[in-house]
Amino acid sequence: MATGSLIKIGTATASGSPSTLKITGIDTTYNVYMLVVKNLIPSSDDTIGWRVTKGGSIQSDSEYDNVRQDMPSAAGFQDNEEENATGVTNATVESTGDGFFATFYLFNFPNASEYSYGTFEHVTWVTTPQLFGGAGGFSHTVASASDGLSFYFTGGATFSSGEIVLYGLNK
Amino acid sequence: MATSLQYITSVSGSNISDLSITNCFTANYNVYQVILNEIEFSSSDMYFRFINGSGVVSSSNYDDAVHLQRSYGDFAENKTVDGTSLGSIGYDDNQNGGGATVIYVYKPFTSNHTFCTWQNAGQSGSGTPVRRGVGVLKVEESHTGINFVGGDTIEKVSATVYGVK
Repeated sequence: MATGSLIKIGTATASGSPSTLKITGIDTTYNVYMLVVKNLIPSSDDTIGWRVTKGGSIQSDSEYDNVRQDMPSAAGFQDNEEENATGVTNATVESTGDGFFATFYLFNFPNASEYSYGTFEHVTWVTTPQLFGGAGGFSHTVASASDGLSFYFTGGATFSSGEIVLYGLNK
Repeated sequence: MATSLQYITSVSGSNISDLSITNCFTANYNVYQVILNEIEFSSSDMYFRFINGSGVVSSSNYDDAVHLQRSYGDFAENKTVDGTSLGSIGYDDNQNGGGATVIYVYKPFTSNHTFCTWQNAGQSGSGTPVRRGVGVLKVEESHTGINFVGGDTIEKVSATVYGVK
């Protein structure tokens, strides 16, 4: 009999105005992981970003490639890309809004001999102000295992609220 | 609406020309999620086709539109009408990690056109390519499986099929 294959691993909730919001728990149990991101609100208007963790430690080396198409509701669509960055950056999130939402698929994270990479779809209300969403992908070009993802605001804002939930895709 | 992801089957292969997953689409589900967590080539793209009761459908009845996003250059709109497969759904040139793709297939088992969407991320020697695609097989018949075919020998591929309820 078929059983549910979307296995909830854990939740990280912003509490006490943290400067990062991190979730770990990725290991070789599953090949593919899904991460749902909800209501990441900065203490002041700021750009959301994320980095992988290895052994629980946030990696801030210059090994991130990312690419995405962003779709503002009141401006032309944008082709955005970056290579050899110190993190993956995305929208400038309004501090008085509902925050940043996204769904990620994470591939190869537990594989010690390959790069970690993922796809994402995101939506938020940006400071322009307007609706701003899109889709893209990223990679961390270091061939070693990653065990999680950590979010931050590039300008130093802290998290007023937010929650990230990690799932494994079971066979 | 509550949804559930239910495991159906996994198939993998190495040094092959193509990979078929047969009898994975049934009347039990309307929507399927197919995940390729490993795509390895010396230098080539991955494509896919559907399978009916007679085998792999390779007729010129596939339409698709793929948005290729590159971390290393201009984006591209890759579109095909009356093609013999769907894709590309991933590219690799022997980089660490190859590529990985999530495909959603809509109502393949019913006697209608079979629609699908996909998203991919990978690594090439130039940087990170990402693909978002939509496609259709314009044949009104039941499709029971999926076939992955490379532009060259597939060094490694691993695929898992889930039903979505």
